Amino acid sequence: MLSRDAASLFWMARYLERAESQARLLDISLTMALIDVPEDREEQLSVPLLVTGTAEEFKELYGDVTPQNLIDFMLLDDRHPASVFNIIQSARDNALHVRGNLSADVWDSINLSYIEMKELRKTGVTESNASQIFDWTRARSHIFRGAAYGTLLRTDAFHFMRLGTFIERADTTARVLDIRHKMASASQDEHATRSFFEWTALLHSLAAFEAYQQIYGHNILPLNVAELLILELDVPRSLHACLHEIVALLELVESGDARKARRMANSLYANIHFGDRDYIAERGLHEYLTDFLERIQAISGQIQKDYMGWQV
Amino acid sequence: MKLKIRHDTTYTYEEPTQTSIQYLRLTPRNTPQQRILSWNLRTPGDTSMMTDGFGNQVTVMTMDKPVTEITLTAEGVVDLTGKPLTKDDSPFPPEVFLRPTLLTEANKPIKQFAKQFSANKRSLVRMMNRILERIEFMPGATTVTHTAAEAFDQKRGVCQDHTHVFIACCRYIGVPVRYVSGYIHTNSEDHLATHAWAEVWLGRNWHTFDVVNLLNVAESHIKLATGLDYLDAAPVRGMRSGGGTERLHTKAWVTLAGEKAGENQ
Amino acid sequence: MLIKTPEEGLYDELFDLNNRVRPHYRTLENWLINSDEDLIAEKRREANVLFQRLGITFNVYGQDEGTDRLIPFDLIPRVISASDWQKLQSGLRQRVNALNRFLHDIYHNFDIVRAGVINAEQVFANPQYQPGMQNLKLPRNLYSHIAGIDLIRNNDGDFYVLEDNLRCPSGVSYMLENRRMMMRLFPELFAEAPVAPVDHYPALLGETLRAASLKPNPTVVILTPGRFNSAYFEHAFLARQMGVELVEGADLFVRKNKVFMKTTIGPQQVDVIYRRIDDDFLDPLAGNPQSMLGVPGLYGAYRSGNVVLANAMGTGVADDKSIYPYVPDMIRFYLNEEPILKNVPTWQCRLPKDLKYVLEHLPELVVKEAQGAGGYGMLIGPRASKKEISHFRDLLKAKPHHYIAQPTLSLSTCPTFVDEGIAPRHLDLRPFVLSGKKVQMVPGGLTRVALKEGSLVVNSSQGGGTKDTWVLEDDLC
Repeated sequence: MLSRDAASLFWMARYLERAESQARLLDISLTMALIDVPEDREEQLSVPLLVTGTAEEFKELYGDVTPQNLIDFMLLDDRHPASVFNIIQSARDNALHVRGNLSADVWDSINLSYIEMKELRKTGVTESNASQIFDWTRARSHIFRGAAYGTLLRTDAFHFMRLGTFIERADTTARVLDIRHKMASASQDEHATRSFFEWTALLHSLAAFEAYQQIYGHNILPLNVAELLILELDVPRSLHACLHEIVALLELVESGDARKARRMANSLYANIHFGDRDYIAERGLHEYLTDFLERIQAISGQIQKDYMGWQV
Repeated sequence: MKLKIRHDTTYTYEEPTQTSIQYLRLTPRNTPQQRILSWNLRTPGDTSMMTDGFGNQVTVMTMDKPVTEITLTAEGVVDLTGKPLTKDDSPFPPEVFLRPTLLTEANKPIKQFAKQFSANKRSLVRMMNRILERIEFMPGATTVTHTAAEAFDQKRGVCQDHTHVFIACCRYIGVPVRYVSGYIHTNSEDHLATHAWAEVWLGRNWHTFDVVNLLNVAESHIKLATGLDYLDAAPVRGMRSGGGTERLHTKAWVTLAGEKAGENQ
Repeated sequence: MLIKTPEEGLYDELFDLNNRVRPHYRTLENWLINSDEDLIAEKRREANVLFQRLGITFNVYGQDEGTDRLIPFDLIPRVISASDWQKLQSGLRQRVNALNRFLHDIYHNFDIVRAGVINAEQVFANPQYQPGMQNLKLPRNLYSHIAGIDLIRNNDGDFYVLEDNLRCPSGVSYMLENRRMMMRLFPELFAEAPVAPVDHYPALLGETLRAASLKPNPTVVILTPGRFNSAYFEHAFLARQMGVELVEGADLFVRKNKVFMKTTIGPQQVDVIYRRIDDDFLDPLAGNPQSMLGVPGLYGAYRSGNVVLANAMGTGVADDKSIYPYVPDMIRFYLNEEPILKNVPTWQCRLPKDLKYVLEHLPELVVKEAQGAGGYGMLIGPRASKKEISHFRDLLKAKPHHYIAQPTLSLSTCPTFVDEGIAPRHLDLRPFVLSGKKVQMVPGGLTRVALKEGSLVVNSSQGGGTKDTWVLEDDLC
C-alpha cells in the first residue's frame, strides 16, 4: 500500500485512541476531584494537563484550574492540538486522506464523531452534562472499533491502523502510570487514603479497576498495580498486551527489506514478556517507565521510517 | 567552420541535497546548418534520454546520493556548414510559435513599441536594433524567471531577455517566432558563450535574429534547443529536495577546432 | 402532490405541449401525485443527512478553503426514453471517436489542417495546444479516454451538444451516488420502472484505464491534487470503487524515465495515471515551474512511452469553445458520416462578419468566453440588464477573439422539488463516454438542474443541483 496511506491510517488510529484515553483521563480527574480533599483538588484536576504536557498552555489560556476551565480546555478548545476536538479533527483529516482504504462504515463512524463534536462546540459542555459527553466519546470509540473489526479487510491497511492504536495505547498507559505513581508516592507517607485514591483513579482511567479486583482483591498495592498494567497480558491496556499486538502486527505487514522496527519491537517485547515485578521494583517504577517511553517512541519513529516516510 | 565547445555547469549547495532530477538540453542535434562531429555530456548522476515535442534531445538525470556539488560538462566538436535556414526542421507548423507564453506576454509598453514594426525582414531588423538600444546588455541584471515585460521596463538584461522581448513583439504583430538556446563563437570577450537568440518565420523560411549581436545570420551559432520561450529550451531545468541555498557557476568555451582554448566566460 | 405545468413554448421532459404526461414518465408521475407532501419532505431531509454523512460535499471556489457544501440533490429523477438514449448513445460514440481522431491528427500529420477544414492558427496558436505532445505515439491513438459531453434539449425537442469536456470531466460520482440514494429512499419505484443500471461505471472505467496501456496487467493509479480540490471526494470514491491507489504528486517519483509510487514495501512501477490535475501542473520541469502538485520527470516518462496519462496532455485544444464549431466537420472529415447530434450554431467573434452580427444582436444571444469554464464569464442576452450588455459590447470590441456567441437555447425543464411544491426547472445532461478497446458508456449521466426559477445556469458553483438520471430499458411501459 501507499506509504502515505499507511501513515494516515496509523495516525488516524493513534488520534482516535488518544481521544478516548483523554476523555477517560478527564472523566476520572473530575470525579476524583469531587471526592478529594479541597486542598488537593487542583492537583487532582491537573493530571490530564500533566499527562498531555499542556499545563503551561492551559495556564496561559485559562489561568485557574477549575473543572469548567478544564472541560473547556481539554474537550473543546481548538487553540491547542491536545483538545479532544482537535484530536478528532486530526483523526478525520487523516481519514479523509485514506477514504479509499476505509469502508463506508468506518468513515461514517469517524465523520459522524467529527460532525457531532462540531455541534457540541456550539452548545458547550458544562460540569453537569460532562459525564454524558465522556460516555459519548467512549461510545464513539467503540463504534469505530466495531466498524473497523466488522467491516475492514485484514489487509495492511487494517494492520497499520492497529499498529497506531497499540503504540498510542502503550504510550498512554506508561504515561498515566508514571504520573499517578509520582503523585501517589508523594502523598503516601502522610496520607494513605489519598494514595489509595490515586491508584483507584489510575485503574479506572485505564479501564482496569475490575481486572485488579479480580486478580488482587480489594487491597490496592502500588506494585500490584504496576504489575497489572505492565506485565499482565490479559489486561487490554497493559504494556505487555500492547507490545504483544505490536510484535504480531509487524509480522503480518508486508515488509520488503524493512527489519529494524520489527527487531526493536521484539526486543522490547521480550523485555516485558520475560520481566517480573521484582525487576521493576529493583529498577524503580519511574526509571522503568521512562526507559519504556523512550523505546516505544523510538519504535514508532522506526515504523514510520521503515514503511511510511522513506526517501527516494 | 569546425568549432570546439566545452561547457561546464556547476551547482554548489549549502548543505547536502537528498535527491534531485534535471532535464538537460545540452546535446545539439544534426541539422543542415550544423553537423555534430563528436559530443559528450558528463554528469554525476544516472541518465536516460528522451526527445521532447520540439524535437530537442533531453537528458534526464537523477541523483539519489547526498551531494553538495553537481558538475555537468558538455564537450564536443561541431561543424557549421554555413547553409542558410530553410523551410523547417521543426516538427510542426509555424503557427505554433504565434502563441504568447507567460514569459513572452506583451504588456502595454511592449505593444506600443511593437506596433511600429511590420512582418518583413527589414522592419524586424530595425526592431532588433531598437530593442538592443533600449535594453542594455548587463549580466546579472535579471534572473531566468524574468518576463519580457519586466526586462523591457527595466531596460537591462542578458540575451535571454532581449530574445524574450523580441519574441513578445513579433507574436504581438502576428509573426511566428521561436526561442533558441545554444552557443556562439565570437572574438569578443564580453559576451557569454552560452547564448540565446530567435528564429522568425517569414512566410517561406525561418530567419535568425540574434538581438544582442545584431546578427541576421547564424554563421557562428550552435543550436542546442528550441521552444516557445526559455522554459522550453533551457539547458538545465531541475528540482531537488534538500540542499539549502544553491549557487550556480557556468563557463563555456567555443574555439575554432585546432585553435588553443581561450576562456570565454 | 400537485405538479406545476411548464410555461408555454418550453420543452418539458414530463409534459408534452398539451400538458399530457409523456409515456415514459407515467410511472413517475403516478408516484408523484400519489405521494404525500410530508413523506417527501421527510425523504429530502433523510437524503441530506445521508449525503453529509457520506462526506459527499463540494468545495465552492471563492469561498473559504475547505468550506464543504452539499450540492443540492433533487428527488425527482429525470427520465430519458429508451429510443432517445439509443440515438444519444450512437451520437456520443460518433462524436468522441471523431474528437480522438482529431487530437491524434493535430499532434501528428495535421491532415485536417492541410485539407483546409480548420485553419492552422485556430489549432496551433490555441493556448490549449500542447507542442510537447507532438509525435508522441499513444496506445490505440487515444487521447480523451474519459469524456463528459454536455447536452441540452432545446424547445424543438432535439438534443444539442453544448460543450465537450475532454480534460478532466467530473461529476460521475454524483451520477452514481444519486442513483444509490434513490434506490435507498424509494426502492419501490425501481420495482415498477425498468431503469437501466449505472453502477457498473467504475468497472467500465477500470477496464478503460487498463486498456489505455498495452501492458498485460498494468498498474493504474488516480492522481489527485489533494483533499482541498473541489472534486476530491470523487477521486477518492473512484479509487475505492476501482480498487486502485489514490495518489498525490508526492507519492510518485521518476527514475530511468519510469514512474514509481512509494509503498510500504518500496517502489512500485505505475503504468497508467488517471490524472485529475491540469496539464500545466503535471511536471514542474516541463510545465509550470511552481507546481507542487505534479511529479518532476513525469513528462520524460510520458514521452518515453513508459507511462500513460488519462486523459492525455493537450486534449483541451479539442474542447475549446473556438474549436467547438468545427466538430461536425471533424465527424464528416474523419468518419465520413453525418453528425448524429446537433451542435449549437455558433458565431466566432474573431471573424469580423460574425462579430458584426453578434454586436447587433446582443440582447438575443448568449456570449461565452472561448476558453472559460464554470459559467463565470458569460452574458445571457435576454436576461441581461442594459448595463451588462454594454459592458459585454466593450469586452467584445476589445478582445473579439476571446468570445463566441450562440442563440439563447431554452433548456428543457423537468419537475423539481422547490419551496412552493413541484415546479419545472431547467436542466442539462452530462453523459460520460469511455474510450478504451471500444467506446462505452453507462446509460445515463449527470443531470444538473438550475434550482432558481427561470435560471439557465446549472453549474453547481452557481447554485445548481443534481438529479438522478433514468434511462429506461424499454419504452413500452
